[in-house]
Amino acid sequence: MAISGIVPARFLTLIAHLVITITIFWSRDENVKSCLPIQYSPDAYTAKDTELIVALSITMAFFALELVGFLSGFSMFMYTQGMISTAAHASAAVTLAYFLFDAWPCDNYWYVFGFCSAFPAVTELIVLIGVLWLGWGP
Amino acid sequence: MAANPQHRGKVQVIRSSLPYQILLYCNAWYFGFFWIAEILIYIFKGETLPYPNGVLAAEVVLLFFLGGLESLRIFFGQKGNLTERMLTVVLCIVLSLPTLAGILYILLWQTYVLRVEVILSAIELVFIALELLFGIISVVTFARATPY
Repeated sequence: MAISGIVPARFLTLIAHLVITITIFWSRDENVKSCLPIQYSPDAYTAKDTELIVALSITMAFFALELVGFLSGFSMFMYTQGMISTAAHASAAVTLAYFLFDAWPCDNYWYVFGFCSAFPAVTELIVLIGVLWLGWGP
Repeated sequence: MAANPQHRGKVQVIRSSLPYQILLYCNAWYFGFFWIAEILIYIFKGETLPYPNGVLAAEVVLLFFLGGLESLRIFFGQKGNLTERMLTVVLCIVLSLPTLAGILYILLWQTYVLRVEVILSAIELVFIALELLFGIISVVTFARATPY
């Protein structure tokens, strides 16, 4: 099977999403502050900060799952999964760029997480289960 | 390693390393993305941060050298792996060292290092490290006398 252009596109959008997620990890402060009221206690800040850290950490775990599924070849040539992954991570990269530069409230991150990290990870998991135990093939 | 009855007793052994090839292929695309991002970052840094005379120009020239070096390295790696020639892969490993120095410069010793440059360089370093590992394995595989 010839290598179509979806393989590098999928890899690059995944890496772009990964880079922006790590950048957000390092500069969460503004995003946490913009979802708190103007007068906030340190405890409220810590609570929201921890919530954002949890969301980002689960995103990183989903990245690991997707990269393993992609680079080990399980889903590298399954074009449906490739399309889902490319579309999700490309839209995530754009949305998170706005999240970062416009200092969106940290609650909005869960929406990006749901549509653009959790969804392709779940489909990747389905592909992995299918290939390993249900005999899906090329 | 299929024993085809039409080969009359000869067995075809493939010694090219698939993980190495995948790493080099992905690295080629990733480095293109990295290089374009670095050019844009240098434009941003040139406009917003103060530089001593000539330093920014020197760093951009280094980036162009790094581009050429990395392109050669990945080309030699891919061709050497596919044609199963040891010396070409050794050349790729040798070229990894100046490339490593260039990426470490971008990571550690630049005038201004942005957070996003740390992340981009770190990913490239992971690629180079894995390729060195698989490159050495490939060299050992290709250097062996034919196994039969």
